Amino acid sequence: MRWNRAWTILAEAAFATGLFALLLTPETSWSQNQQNKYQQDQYKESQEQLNEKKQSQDLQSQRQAYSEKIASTYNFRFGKEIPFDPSNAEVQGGGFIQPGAFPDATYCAHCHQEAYHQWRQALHSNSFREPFYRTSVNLLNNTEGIEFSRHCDSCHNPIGLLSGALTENSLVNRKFDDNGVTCMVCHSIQGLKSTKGNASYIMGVPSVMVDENGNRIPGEVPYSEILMHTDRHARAVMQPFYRTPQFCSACHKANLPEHLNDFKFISAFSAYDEWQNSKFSHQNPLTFYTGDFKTCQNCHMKRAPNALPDYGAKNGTFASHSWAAGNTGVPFYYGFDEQLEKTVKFLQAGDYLNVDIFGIKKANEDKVIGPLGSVIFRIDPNDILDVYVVIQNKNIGHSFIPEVRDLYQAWTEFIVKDAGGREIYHSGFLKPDGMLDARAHSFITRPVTKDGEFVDNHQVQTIHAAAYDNTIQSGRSTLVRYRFRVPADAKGFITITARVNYRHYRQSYINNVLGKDHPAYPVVEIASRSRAINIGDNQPAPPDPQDNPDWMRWNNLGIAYLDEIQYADAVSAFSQVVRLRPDYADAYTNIALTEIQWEKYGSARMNIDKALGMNPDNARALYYAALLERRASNIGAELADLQEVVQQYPQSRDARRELGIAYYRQGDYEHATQQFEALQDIDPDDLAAHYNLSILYHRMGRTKEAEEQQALFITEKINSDARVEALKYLRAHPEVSDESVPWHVHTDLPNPPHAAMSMGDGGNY
Amino acid sequence: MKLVYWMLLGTSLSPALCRAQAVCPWINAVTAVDAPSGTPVPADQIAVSKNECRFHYQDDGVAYELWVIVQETENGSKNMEMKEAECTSKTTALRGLGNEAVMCAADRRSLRGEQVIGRVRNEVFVINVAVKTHRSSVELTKSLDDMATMMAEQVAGNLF
Repeated sequence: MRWNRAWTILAEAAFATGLFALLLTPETSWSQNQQNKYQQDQYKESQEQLNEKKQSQDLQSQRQAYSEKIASTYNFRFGKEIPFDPSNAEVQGGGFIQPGAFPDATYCAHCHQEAYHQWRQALHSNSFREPFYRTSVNLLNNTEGIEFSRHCDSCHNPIGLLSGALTENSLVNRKFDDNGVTCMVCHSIQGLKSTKGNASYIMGVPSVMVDENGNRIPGEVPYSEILMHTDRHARAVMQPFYRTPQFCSACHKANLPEHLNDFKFISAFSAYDEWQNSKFSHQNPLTFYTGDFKTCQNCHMKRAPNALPDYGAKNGTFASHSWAAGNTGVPFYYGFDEQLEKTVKFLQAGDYLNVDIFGIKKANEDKVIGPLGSVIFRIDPNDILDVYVVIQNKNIGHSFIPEVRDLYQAWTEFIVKDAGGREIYHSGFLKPDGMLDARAHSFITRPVTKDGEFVDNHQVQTIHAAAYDNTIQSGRSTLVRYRFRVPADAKGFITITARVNYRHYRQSYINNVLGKDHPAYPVVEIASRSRAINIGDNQPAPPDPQDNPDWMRWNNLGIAYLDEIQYADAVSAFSQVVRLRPDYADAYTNIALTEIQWEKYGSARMNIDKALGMNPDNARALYYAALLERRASNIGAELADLQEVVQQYPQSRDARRELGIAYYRQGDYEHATQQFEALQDIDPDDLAAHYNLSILYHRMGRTKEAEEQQALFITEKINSDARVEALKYLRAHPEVSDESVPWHVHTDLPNPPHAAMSMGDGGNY
Repeated sequence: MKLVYWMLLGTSLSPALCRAQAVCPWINAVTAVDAPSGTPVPADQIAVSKNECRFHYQDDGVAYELWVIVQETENGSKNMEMKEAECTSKTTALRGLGNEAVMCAADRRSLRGEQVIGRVRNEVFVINVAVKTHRSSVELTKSLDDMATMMAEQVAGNLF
């Protein structure tokens, strides 16, 4: 530790002043020893404060010098004022931060052994170095330029971004690369700019201590200091917002901005928005089911007993820093068996997904026999059967699959076998080369370029549209149909199995990264269900423990029909829920909302009245009641209903939007503006907010703001060529084009004819 | 006059050409010689050719050499085996580095060295870190192993 003469003199002066003050204090009853001890402590403390201040000033000037040096050769391609664009990252006080200013994870490990151990195998620590990311970002660097990778590295390698390393011929020592999102990245974030994602964090000067006035002390300090002032350590490294989903949104929400793709804003993914719309947030009155409040951290950072000593542990448990989720690929690559095991366990935790072999429809019959297990029916040899499999995203707080859904792979495997184990039909199998059956039902997105070509290598800057998106949103269900013929010689029974498999990553992407000579990557069965069906008569059978009750099975079928735009079938399914659960108000609301979409307002009104009859304050029913009031031009009732919904659910996007529209229609621009501004606070990229605010501001004479909102609407609205580009891809790939149609059947039979046109060898599966 | 023009042009271009030649495509020079961030690495410490980069530097009075070789091959695995034959010790497999990688000793005359041989798809890389010494110790081997592994991570990462 260096001593500076000038500061020593100042310290001595401070000591003398303190001593003088002490002599004037009335506490003269102190013993001489006590006084001496006090004086010594005062002196020591003032010396420490001066040293800390001095060190802090030294570090600040070092940082400034570093920042200026980096800036002298840095490529400010997107503007001098936005050095980290195309990301939203920001540094408190501006400039660049030396990589060495971030204390290394091994420094933290001294007191946080459990955290370090977990983090080392977790995705956060390997977020930059792992090959599946590097392949993608290297392509971006090599084709567009390294400055474009600021978009990706802002979350995958924040120190690389903030130290100014992402420029040609960088002079930054990249030793930190293998630490990705290290401890002092998350624990130095001092604020969030918004919930826009793309690294919407505000990075403070990395500090593990604050001084007695709450000022951040940059860099490492001796462990003894931390242990003496654990409260000051906690104030430096913990913020209340770290426990919120908004914190996660900084990186778990992304869009492709114009600076990246030289095209326009394209929404990429948003686990945060999906959570906010789910039953777990308690912020959305329109969910199909209700549940306990849960945040991202409640699922991905569950507390568990710590095996290693850690000062962060409380009552023998520690909040997970493994962040187990879906990525089996990276731990498999590194041989991180512990992380892999945790991830598989997490995926198979039980009730995230529900697979229901709901029913059977015979060829040339309209009626669906179901719910299987609860009804009597008969099948015979040579019958052509459509099996209805309902897959429910039951307890995931975001979509299935979430986030980078062009890279991950989840699909339904459906197998029918006869009594002797002979395979009758198999969809969703893996071919010997590891590629997935092209006609499998998968829960992925297929992004395409402007030329309608599949973006196989995750070059996000080339994405213009999605050919289809088969993810299941939180709380919703999807219906997958499989058709096969019961063999003429079938005897006894057939066994039907439906399972949802997950692989991180898609095989063709693994091949892109590692070539074709890699080991098989893990395939995890997340959920499954089998049923044995007698050839002949079938009687009701007891349910399996994981089965949903029959009313919920009908409800899920209804939700799936609704999303397939099969309104009559949806109403019919929801009516079965009413039959089984006449006390369940949501059943009536479900019928009503289907009928509203179907434009059968009279019947919808009757059903919504039934729901409100059970509970007049039911926010979900009130929301749909308001839409019916609008239809009937009852503006007062419409406003009253929506106001009540907003009062109960102030974070409801839908209610805010509709209430804004209601005020607007009434000519109350001030209140309409308030609602759309509130909506924009919830989701800064809400199109309805941009559109309506541009009009409202214009009418209120707020021209500049109107222009800003108009510009945002124009850049963020869906690409008008998106459908054309999607169709180019689908036309060239008939083996998967059915997947883009809400209602489709998977079969090997020659009907429908186009299903047999291709075995899908031309695709990337 | 023409001669003066060409001399001036040559003078103005040559530093840029030198700098361009000194950029190693697989590892940043500051990282390779473990220099403080923001500090340019002197040109005489770097030699770059089509398939190789060599870095010579001193740290605490010890002379180090980092030698990076990258070759595109028809058969990456087979080519790796050929490179492994040059090891001066048994090889140890490294997981999570390229498609596959091994570590071994690579002593040359008065240089005590450790190297990582690996491949990314069909590109084979060799990362050799050596010090000029006749001494050998467990600590030195460990230190060279760590340096070679870290440099190999950088190179493999850029090859993906």
